[in-house]
Amino acid sequence: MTIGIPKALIYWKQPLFWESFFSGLGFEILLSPATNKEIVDIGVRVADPENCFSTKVFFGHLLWLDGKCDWIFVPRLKTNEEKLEYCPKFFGLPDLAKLLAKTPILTETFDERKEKFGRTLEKLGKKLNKNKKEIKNALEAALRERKNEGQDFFKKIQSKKPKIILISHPYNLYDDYVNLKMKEKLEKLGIDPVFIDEVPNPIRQLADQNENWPKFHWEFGKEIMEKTSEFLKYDVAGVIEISSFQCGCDTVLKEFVEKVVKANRVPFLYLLIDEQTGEAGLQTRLEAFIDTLH
Amino acid sequence: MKTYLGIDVGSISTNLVLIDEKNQVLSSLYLRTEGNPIDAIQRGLKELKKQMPREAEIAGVATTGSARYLAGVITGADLVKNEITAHAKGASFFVPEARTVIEIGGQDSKIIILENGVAVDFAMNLICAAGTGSFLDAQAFRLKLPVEQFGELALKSKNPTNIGSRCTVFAESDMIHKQQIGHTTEDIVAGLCQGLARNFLNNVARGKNIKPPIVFQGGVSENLGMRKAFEKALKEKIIVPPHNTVIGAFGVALLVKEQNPQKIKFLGFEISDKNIKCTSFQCQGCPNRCEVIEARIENKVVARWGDRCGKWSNLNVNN
Repeated sequence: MTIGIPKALIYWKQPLFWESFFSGLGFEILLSPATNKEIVDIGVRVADPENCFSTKVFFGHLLWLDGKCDWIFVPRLKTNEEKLEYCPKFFGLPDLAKLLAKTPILTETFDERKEKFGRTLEKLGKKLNKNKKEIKNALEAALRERKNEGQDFFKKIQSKKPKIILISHPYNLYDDYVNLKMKEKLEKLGIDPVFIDEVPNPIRQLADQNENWPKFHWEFGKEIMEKTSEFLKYDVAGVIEISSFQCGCDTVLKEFVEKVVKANRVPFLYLLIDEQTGEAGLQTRLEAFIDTLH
Repeated sequence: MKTYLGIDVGSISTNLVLIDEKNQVLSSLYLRTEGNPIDAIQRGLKELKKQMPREAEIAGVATTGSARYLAGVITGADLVKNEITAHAKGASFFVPEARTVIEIGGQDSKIIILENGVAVDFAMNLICAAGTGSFLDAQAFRLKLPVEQFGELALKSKNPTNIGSRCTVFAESDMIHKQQIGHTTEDIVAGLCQGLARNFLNNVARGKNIKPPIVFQGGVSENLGMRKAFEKALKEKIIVPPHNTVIGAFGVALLVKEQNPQKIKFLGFEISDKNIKCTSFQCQGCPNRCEVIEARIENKVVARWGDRCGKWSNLNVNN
């Protein structure tokens, strides 16, 4: 039995976790390849134009897997362990996936407001005829694969080159096709880029007292704002926020990120990406932005 | 006499400015790109050669604009600079205390915030060209007016009508409707200018702290109706600097002069007579199927670009 995992959107929330979990249960894993033009074209063709670019890319990955495996795994992520919500688009993904793909969709609702993560995994395992013990072992093995945050940050932040923090969702930061190789482009311009998720989490109590932003009910809202106030304590030359075109949540979040960054007199650049984004326009903005750093 | 050449190749116009060591403009050219940037550069160089003083020698070349890399390759530029930095440089030369620069060109519009003559923040139009010169061009064509007369006509209006300027397509339907219910052409033209200014301020300049002195430049700054529309919307004086339509080329000429290149890469005025061609092919290396562009001078490949992975652009093109 082979389980297909679309290498897009929620995959990047916990890379390696799901593939090691399912292979721990004895399944073959088929990951869709790195995003390419073909995948984007498929996604754009099937997705309603009102979807954000990242969702369109996800549908491309989904359909690339369609017919190549026995199941395609599309979890319904509702709330995380802090009881904060994921993006509302994630809620409907398994339903839309069922409409689009012929291959059966393997799904379960992860809503930690109502049910512990481990319990939901057990329910998922039951669908695959796996018992509690097998689930527990696979989970423990998979958790070891989770990357440790903050390790590289202190090394990077000491670099002599100007440092730019890239703020976005992991599915934009880690997908080089989607972000048009932003990291490489910045490196060529003499910059050391640091991804927002590399920034260590601040001490919780301090973060809760912050009055510069509201209490977000989105998990990424809280994380990005907390990490933003954290990296601003260091020597940072500039901040670039990347957003998928038509991301509704980002239009709200961006206002607060920009306000906090600019209040610290750190240059800020906001970039929108979609399937039409040209390399030339992006390059011009990056070059001009770097000229504004002093 | 040492001179420095700035070339700004944009979607609508190709501009060349030659300055001397005292920053005096010796010649300036504004040509229509007409969809053929190579030809525009070649025409420009030929014309410049005729205009420039006999004793002038080129001591540095810089390119800017959306075709700056192409222009840099075929002329042998010492400096290739983005148009935002180039425009900021040009504006702060003429108006050293400027705090805001509004630049509207053919397909780009930008706002630049300056502090002590240096750009500290900027924004460009993102996904729509509704606030640019192309928009005005298109509307002028629909009204059968030369775009050059557009601005003067707008000034005659006593009661500018409200035109939705969010999108060129919908602006047309709105305009037709206004004509049908009896608005005069000057009121419609003035309305379009106000709509464009509003669109620029609400979209491109949104969230930017617009402080005087405000400089307005780029091709659209020639339009008197647009100047008035910005003055009205911002309730501030609008300064249009000298050489406003070619100021990007001027700015980049200043930048290369400051850089003072020791070894000049300029390929000479002869390039206007050479056979320069760009061809493209689709790379079959992966599903991305990138369109790779090859630039050739006299059939010799001088540069390649357009590939996402760098496999073609990194190739040593001299081989």
